[in-house]
Amino acid sequence: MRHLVLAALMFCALGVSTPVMAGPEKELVQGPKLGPGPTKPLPGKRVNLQLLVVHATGGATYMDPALRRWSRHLGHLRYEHFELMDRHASQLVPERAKTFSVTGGREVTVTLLQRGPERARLRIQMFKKSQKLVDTTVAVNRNGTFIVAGPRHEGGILVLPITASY
Amino acid sequence: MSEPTEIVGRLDALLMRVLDGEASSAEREELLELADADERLAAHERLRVALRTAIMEVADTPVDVVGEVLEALSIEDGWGAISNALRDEVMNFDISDSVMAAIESPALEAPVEEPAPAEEVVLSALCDGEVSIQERMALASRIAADTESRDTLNAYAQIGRLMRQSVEAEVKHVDLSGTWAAVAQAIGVEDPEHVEGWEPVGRALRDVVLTEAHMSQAESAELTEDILVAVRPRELVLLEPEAPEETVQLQPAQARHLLPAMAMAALALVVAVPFLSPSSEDSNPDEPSATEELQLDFAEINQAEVENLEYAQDVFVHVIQDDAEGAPMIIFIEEEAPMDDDLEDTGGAL
Repeated sequence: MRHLVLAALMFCALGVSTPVMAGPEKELVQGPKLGPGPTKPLPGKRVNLQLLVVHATGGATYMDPALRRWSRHLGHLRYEHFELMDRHASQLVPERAKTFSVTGGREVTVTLLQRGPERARLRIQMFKKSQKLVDTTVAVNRNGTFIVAGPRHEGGILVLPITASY
Repeated sequence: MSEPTEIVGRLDALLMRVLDGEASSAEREELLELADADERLAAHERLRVALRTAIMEVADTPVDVVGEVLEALSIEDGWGAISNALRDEVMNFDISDSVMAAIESPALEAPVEEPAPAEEVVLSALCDGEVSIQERMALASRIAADTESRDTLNAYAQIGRLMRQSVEAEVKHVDLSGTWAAVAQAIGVEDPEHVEGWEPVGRALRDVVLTEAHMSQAESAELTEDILVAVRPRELVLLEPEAPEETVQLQPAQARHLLPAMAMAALALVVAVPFLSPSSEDSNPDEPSATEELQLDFAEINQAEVENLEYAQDVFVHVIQDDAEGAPMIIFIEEEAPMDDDLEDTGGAL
């Protein structure tokens, strides 16, 4: 029985998102497969959510190729080096919170409050250990992206582009 | 005439006394008479003969359990000499010299038919568990006082550990999920997933899950999704950390149980998932399908609006909207922002 519990815990551990420390020359980890490009509308009341974890620092100018979609906008932040650290994706249903572990002992909880034909309302909560840092409700256009940024991490900040796709 | 149950009880009592070697001749005769009179045995002549023979042979046979055990032990491991020494010295408490002499004797008496192998070869074989019991005993007593040999053994153990770590690191990058299925097919196993003896365990698990698990459809769907995400192979290579990781060295006993334990856990998941997941008939179209691949569309123009904003006392939050068309809104959080004690906090405290 003890071994069974041990093995079950190992399986549970595999389910935790894998934050990866990657140097500039390293390949980066990809999370769940995401299909780009036009897709059929997501049925029901679900919303596909993507949350990226980007490390922005000073120094040599670098933009991770995976971030090219937002490179123009990230450039407005006063940092030169942008590197994708982790990628979370999940399907949200109304009133069901999803929590994502973010490096630095932080967690981001996202709750789909409403999905309308043009906009989705999301509640975003950020925690550091047990302390709630921010609790906000954002209305974002269909397939739109907004960014939560600022938490300090290893000489820079974390930037979290959040996309609600449906 | 006695009741059948009384006869059976008497038969049982007599049989126990015979097996314990405590039955008298009269009791053995009584047992045989009862057995001969039993209608069920009447049709089994061979069985009756065998029973009679066994009962009569057990009668006065002396039993030397200690001798037999020691004799059995001495078949392969050289304990025969030790047991003899113990017997010889049984009336003398100072038997250490005899025991030590007996331990060394197998090696001394071993015939030398081939040239002795090099020391490194012997030590390597010892490290790999390839030497006989006699050789191991002889080596153990010799190495106890040989620092150089012990260092060599430690080096071999270290090399083995590093090799295992290297192999494990390589294996992490290889998808072996289909290996067993291919091997099973090659060796003619009809059902690669079949585990002998698993059915009662699976039934017990199923019963427990059905009894104890009261999950809503939403909880069930979430659990299913989490399990499948966990079990689904990672698509890209995981990176090696730049610094060597601390590895947990499993003891042989732990390692021996690890694979069966993981197999059991995997099978437990396979058994449990169907009962924790809603069936296709009662599935809610609004619930996410765990197996559905997430697809994302990205709008060319990003429009977002903050409807509500609360933040901790020591946090500053700025909402930045770039003038550029289509730029995403940025909610900028400054953790542990410096506060001037003379200023009143106008932030929206939680």
